[in-house]
Amino acid sequence: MAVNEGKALVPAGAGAGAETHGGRSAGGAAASTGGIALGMPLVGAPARGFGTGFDLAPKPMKVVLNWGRKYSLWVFNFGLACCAIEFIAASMARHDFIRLGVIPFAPGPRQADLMVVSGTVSDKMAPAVKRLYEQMPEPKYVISFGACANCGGPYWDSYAVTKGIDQVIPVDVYVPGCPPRPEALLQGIIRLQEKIAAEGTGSTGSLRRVPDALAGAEGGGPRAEPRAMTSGARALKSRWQRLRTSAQPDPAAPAPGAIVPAETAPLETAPVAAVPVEPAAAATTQRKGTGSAADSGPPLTTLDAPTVEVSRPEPSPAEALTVEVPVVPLSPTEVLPKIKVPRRHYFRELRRARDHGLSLFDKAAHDQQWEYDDES
Amino acid sequence: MSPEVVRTLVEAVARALGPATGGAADVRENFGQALAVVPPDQWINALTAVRDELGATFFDWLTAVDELEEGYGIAAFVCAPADRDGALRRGQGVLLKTKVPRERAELPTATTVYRGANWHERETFEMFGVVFTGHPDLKPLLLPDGFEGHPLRKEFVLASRVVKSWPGAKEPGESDHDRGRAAPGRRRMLPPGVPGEEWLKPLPQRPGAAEGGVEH
Repeated sequence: MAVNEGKALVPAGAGAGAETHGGRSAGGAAASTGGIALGMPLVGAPARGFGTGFDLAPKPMKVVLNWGRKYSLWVFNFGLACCAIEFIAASMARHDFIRLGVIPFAPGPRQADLMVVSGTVSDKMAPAVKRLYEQMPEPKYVISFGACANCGGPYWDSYAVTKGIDQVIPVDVYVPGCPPRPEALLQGIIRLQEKIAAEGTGSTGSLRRVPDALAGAEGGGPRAEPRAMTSGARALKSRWQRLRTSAQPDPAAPAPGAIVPAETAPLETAPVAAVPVEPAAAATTQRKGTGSAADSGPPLTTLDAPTVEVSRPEPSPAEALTVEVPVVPLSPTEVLPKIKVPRRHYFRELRRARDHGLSLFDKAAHDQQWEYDDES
Repeated sequence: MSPEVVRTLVEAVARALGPATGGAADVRENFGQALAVVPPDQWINALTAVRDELGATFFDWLTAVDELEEGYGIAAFVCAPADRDGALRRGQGVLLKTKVPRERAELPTATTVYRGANWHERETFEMFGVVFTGHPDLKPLLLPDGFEGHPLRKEFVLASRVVKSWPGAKEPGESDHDRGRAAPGRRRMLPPGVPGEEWLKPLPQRPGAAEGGVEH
């Protein structure tokens, strides 16, 4: 996740990925703190290409466009193993993700908006996954479905299995499970839709934020190549940067009359004391020093949903009044909690079947007894 | 199959393989199947005999086993798709085994006898490094391009297991449940997949293994 601390004007999704990470070896926070970039899979998705029209559109129009986009997700199932069966179950009548606007009839990746990688990705299959992902038109989304696609799963030590599809392509939502229930995919789709709804609008939606230390410690950017910005967005960004550096001492207040697209408008700012629910966001200003808490820790997987503690000094009251920290608008990655599946119907049916079988047995024994009685 | 049927099967296989291999084949019953252990130089002769004389024209599978300093065991199963007089009945088959030395893992290809052995030998070649001489196209089948090494050999090191310890408790006494208790005295397990030095030490010689020839 590329969150530029201090540079409030850069859209968190758009500019940062293309700007700060030249590629998979960028290193990011790990390099800046003297650590070794281990090439671990990185949490996050790079800039998304929406086109200049979307970038220039006012915020209400973006909301409408996002609303339309999130309810017509033509999905392309990259089914590789047993998780694909769960995907199919989710598309069938009982779970029926078509009611969420997910349409599983994309003729191919060129017509798809969403790719669900469900199953074990082998090293030999990984180039095919990447190629088909590259064939999808922008904006495109990826759900990594199941433990194998997330991190290798039970084949974590195999000589032939890719340890997570996010080593090859950027992933938007990870769905844990081995295999996950279809309900888990439904929740993953809903989370993705929340994320789509928040795109480009500067709001966080209802997404839970991934701690910045987690994102920053793993290199600060996606491992796959970041998506390029559109030329319009790049021109607007550079123009806004010129404006800011020359004439604007306060980034929170753009010049009146300056052409500032909503995408690159200054983000909402909030006093530190007002965002107690997001300590990680408040800690961005001093992440360089302390944010690499996860550097020395064990490799993080999406299965255990790690929470990284970020040490944050308590601001003095005077500081709390003056220091303003940009609220990072969008977390590109979501770690899903496990879903609790109600089971009482199952056991009730099971008991009923057992009682029925027992009654049949009793009846048969009773009849048998009568036969014996007749003979004697 | 009843014991009589198995005995008849083994006798038929022995009758066919005895003259074909010059008496070098060791034919016996093994878990209700006919097993024929032949030296590697009689491998093609044995396959030809079971195909032509016994009617085992269906090549089922071929693979290898890494038996450390004893070499690589090669096993192939062939069976008969139809009844034939004086030979195998439909569904009956022969398990053929041989063993090639570790330092010279070569075997003449079975594709001259069974064309279906082609991909099996390619897979055995890439997984174990056993070279099938005379194979028309001996290149990797399943592994990605540029893969180095033969992953099913015992000395192949799984890098993931080297850099990350095995999750969970491998032994009694290691889990949280057993914390504080005395671990029962039993043989400690090796970390799976990480070949320690013990793995490549020579095993104690078994009786009969030193006589040379093929040992099952």
